[in-house]
Amino acid sequence: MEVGKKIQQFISYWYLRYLLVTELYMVEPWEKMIVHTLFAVLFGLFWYFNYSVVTTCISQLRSTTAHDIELIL
Amino acid sequence: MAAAVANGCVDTSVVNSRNKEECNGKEKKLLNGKINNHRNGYLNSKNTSNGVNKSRLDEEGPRIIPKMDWSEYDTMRGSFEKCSLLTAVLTNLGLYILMFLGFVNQILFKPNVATEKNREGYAPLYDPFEQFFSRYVYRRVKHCFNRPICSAPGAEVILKERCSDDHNWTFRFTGSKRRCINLGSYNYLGFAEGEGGSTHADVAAATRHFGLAMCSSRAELGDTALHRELEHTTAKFLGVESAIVVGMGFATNTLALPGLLGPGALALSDANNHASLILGLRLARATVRVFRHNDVRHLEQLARAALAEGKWRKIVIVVEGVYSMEGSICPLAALVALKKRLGLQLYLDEAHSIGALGPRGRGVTDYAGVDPNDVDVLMGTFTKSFGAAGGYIAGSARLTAWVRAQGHAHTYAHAMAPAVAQQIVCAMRALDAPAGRARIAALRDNTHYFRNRLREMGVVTFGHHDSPVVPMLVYTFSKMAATVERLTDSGIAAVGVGFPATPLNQARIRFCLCASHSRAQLDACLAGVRRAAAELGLRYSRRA
Repeated sequence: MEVGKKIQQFISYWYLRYLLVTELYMVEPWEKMIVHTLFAVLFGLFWYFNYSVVTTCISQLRSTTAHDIELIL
Repeated sequence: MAAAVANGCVDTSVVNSRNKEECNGKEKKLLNGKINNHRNGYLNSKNTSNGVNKSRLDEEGPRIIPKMDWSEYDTMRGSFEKCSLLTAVLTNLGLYILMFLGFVNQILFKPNVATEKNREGYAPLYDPFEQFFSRYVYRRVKHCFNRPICSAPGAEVILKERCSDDHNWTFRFTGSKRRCINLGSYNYLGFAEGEGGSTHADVAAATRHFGLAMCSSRAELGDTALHRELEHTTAKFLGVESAIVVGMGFATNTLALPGLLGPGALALSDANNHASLILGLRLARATVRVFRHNDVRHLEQLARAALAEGKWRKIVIVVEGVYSMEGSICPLAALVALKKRLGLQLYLDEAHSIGALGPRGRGVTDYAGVDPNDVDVLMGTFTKSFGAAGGYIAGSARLTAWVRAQGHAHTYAHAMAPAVAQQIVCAMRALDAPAGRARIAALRDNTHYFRNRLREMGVVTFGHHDSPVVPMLVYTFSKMAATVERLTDSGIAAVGVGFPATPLNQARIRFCLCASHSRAQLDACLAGVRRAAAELGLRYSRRA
């Protein structure tokens, strides 16, 4: 119970700080939703880019170097 | 027919004059060419022997006048802690989000305001950006500004509460009132006391004797013995020869500057000067060059460059005593030394410093230990420290006579109301009594106490240690609104200041201290600020 309350307080505190720093504190609810969604989409795209491009590139890079090393050896 | 004939006549005359002009132009050019070709050296020698003053300024000046040694003077008159890069980036990002949402809102909904009609073919009445800003940024935090009050703004003030049903487009009163500690009034010495104040009896008597208003300008029927007494008292208070009072503080600057400066004058103006000074300089059609806020080295550089140009009728430094948005104090001793060395003039606006600074409350001249007669034009207002209204220009008798004749306020503005004049006279006299000196000391103590506690708290404050205006930086509009809301909930009335008055990304809360605040009241305020700072993350200071 105590822990749950603390977590709730923690979340509401940082949600308020997030609202303040993005100026969403003073806008209307539907405008808040627009920016939340926008941030979510941006973050999602960023995640997808990392997942699809960056990780595959790295894994390819790693596999090629491993292969080369094997060849050299 | 007549018109046609007349037109014809006009046409020929125009043509004639044009011909003449062309001839003149050619003649001039020819003459110029000849002079330049044949008599160049002669003309030059004539010039140098002619203008004694000019040549000293032009040629010998920069070589002879040694550079100022600024290490002798205290030129750092206020601290300005820079914010971290992260804060700056986030503040700007927030502004972009607000702009974006504003555009979306504008496209989707019709703004809930009056619109211009039948104005096709005319220029718009309002600047588009300002209109957008006031509708989609300012409107959202409007509940923090222009709050109605229903008591005298003394140490405490009663706020009339209001709420909005349509996101601050319109407000309605809830009917309830809230008593708050007043940190928002420029009531430095606590003379705004309402009924039962120290000046109440005298002001009531003056109103009975002279009436409520003069209904005329000073130059016509609005002049009374009380006004002359006020001018005399003001001059004596400031320690100068003569003074002239005007019924409105803003207009004192705006109407006196055009009388004093003209198109041939150069004004070296501080970057953070008040709007009234800027408007006055524009109306005067003087050339304005801006130096960085309180930067005497930059000022010296500009002044020397201007002297080298040698074309200015006069060069005037325009500064304020205490800057109301920064809480900084002007380095007056350094400015006077510079002015004396380079032969410039000094216009000092003491709107916030008169009464509030200096051991005797004489303003920044008293504080810096400068003879008031060394400042060419002393301007100030009675609105702040004296709990009244209006402003004054003080200096030599010649100056005030000139302002009386050439400034527009004396001739056209309504004379100051007798009650207001009497309030100022009483307040000035009170400052020379022990009780008045106690007020000045109390203000200084309160200022130091409040500033020290805020600094310990870790919030960023601007300005000088002795300045009774204490701006606390919160950077974003949301934080400003949230802070003002939290403070109001804790029973503190403070003022948030945003864009038109400050840079776009430097919103701040401005605390104005008062001699009549008790220590307990200040402690209550500090507790409220501490709570708000902890909740909203206002501890930006990176100073150890």
